[in-house]
Amino acid sequence: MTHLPARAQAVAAARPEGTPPSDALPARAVGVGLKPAHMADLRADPGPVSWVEVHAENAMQAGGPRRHALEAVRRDHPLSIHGVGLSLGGAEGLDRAHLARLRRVVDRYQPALVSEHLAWCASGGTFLNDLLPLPYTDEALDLVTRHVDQTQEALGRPILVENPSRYLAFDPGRPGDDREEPEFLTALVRRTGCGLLLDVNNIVVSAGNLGFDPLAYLDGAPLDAVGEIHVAGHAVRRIDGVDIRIDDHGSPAPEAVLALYVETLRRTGPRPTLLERDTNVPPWAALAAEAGRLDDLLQAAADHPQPMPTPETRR
Amino acid sequence: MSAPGAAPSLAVRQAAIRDVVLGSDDPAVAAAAGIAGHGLTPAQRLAIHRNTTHITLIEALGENLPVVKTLVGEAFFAQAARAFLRGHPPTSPILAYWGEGFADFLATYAPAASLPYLPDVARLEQARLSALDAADATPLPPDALARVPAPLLPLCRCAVHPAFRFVVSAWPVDRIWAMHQPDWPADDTVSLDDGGATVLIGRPHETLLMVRADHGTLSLLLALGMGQTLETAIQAATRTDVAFDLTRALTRVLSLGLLTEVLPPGDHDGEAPRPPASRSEDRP
Repeated sequence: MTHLPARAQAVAAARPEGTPPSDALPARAVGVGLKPAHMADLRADPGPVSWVEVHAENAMQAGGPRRHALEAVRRDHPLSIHGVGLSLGGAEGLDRAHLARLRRVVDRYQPALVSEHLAWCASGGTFLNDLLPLPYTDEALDLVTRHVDQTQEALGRPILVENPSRYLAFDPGRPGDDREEPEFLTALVRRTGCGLLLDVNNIVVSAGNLGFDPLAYLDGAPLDAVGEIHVAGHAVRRIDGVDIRIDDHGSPAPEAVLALYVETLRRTGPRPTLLERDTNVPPWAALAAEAGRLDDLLQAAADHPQPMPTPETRR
Repeated sequence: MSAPGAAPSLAVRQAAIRDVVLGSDDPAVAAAAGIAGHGLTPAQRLAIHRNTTHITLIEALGENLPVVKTLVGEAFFAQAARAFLRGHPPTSPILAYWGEGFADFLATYAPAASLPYLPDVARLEQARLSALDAADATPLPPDALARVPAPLLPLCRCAVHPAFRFVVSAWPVDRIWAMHQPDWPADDTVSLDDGGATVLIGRPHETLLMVRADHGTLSLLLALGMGQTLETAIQAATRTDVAFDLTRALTRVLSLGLLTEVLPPGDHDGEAPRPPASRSEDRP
């Protein structure tokens, strides 16, 4: 608890009794995806940033300076471990060795949150380094349910599952065996007790690419299970006359994403919010300033709480 | 396979998508994924994912092997990486070490034939990466061996630091690497006629160290790493290099922090050599 920045001290003071230092993540806290280039700056002056998220696969060093740097960050800030390699939607079953590595990361860093994606990224022993979409069928729901159960059991704690950015939809399988994503997530949350990492940028990206209404998505999503919100920017590319939104995390969040973020907060109340930036990474000051703007929106939502949506708004 | 008219199973869809992402242009493969086009063809939709996989993996390989990338230039590197990816896609979700096998690939990659040292530069960068994240261990102090009673010394075993790596090259691979670092003196040059190098890599504290050594020193370390006694390790070193200088070699090895334990004979004496310690719990 040494050298805690002012914001983190407030965060620590607000934690419920009995919660270990820095393990709790208050609903009013803004974090950023941690880039190696920003580590020194974060330690020197976190500004409005009170917690950080790290990809699980970048936290698996056996030792050495990169591990020590992350351990130092963890001493000052709550941490979220965000997996991009477990392939919860993989038809071939979870990679047990990777799940064991994830378990060691969670044991070592005691993160406030652990999350993965509603997607698959490996097949036939090949890791594709992309979060590929699932058809929302009975088969997929059973499979992902099994894998989330298996993961939560291995980690001894619930995880959050993130809605993916999608670029394609599947032909319906047998008639009636098809769901919208919010309905699929609702069933998954109910069956496994997992939480939802709601990525509002991914909703805007998918809505643009597949032609649905982001607000209708919120109507159907299990908003009472939201444990974290992701905010990011995306690119728009024209392919054969069709505008495709590409989730590149390469620019500040655009107005459409911020508007959906505010609407989400209106419905959920304040939730821990993470700013993601993975390409064209700006200097720390610029990223911290953008995080500060999210912080303003989050604090405003916290000061004007709205009732949670009633269960009737969900199917 | 699913019956005609029925929906493809998840396994069938994912195998088809994987093959397209990895490079298959067969329309029948794309069709097996059962994708709705929404104004584009299924292949065009899948091409978005193919691009993501290729671009991000080529980028990851470049981040792992920055000197190789600088030596050949961005465009050439991307081309070579794309060709490598076709035959050797990653098998682990941890990309920090991805590229094992790229050195061997480069050795057979005809467009790179004019840069015969390139595979060894890749080996060196790969060795440094894996040394960087290896498990921690505290190096022995420089006088650790001098404190062991002389008659016992030959029967001692030594633990080698988990971060120890080496590269043996017919080229001055360490200097080729060094000339692409920010602290390289502006007036220094590397000649390929300088000859080969046996390079030892260690991580005594937070920073990697890299030094040249003779083959005897390398043999000594490899034998110790296999759990042999110092006496056996010295014999191995002398067989490799008749001029092997033990005192000089041990000073070198200790100053690099490559030894972490000296185990006097006793409990271990007469037993089979210990298997080498697992190098890194989290490596795939």
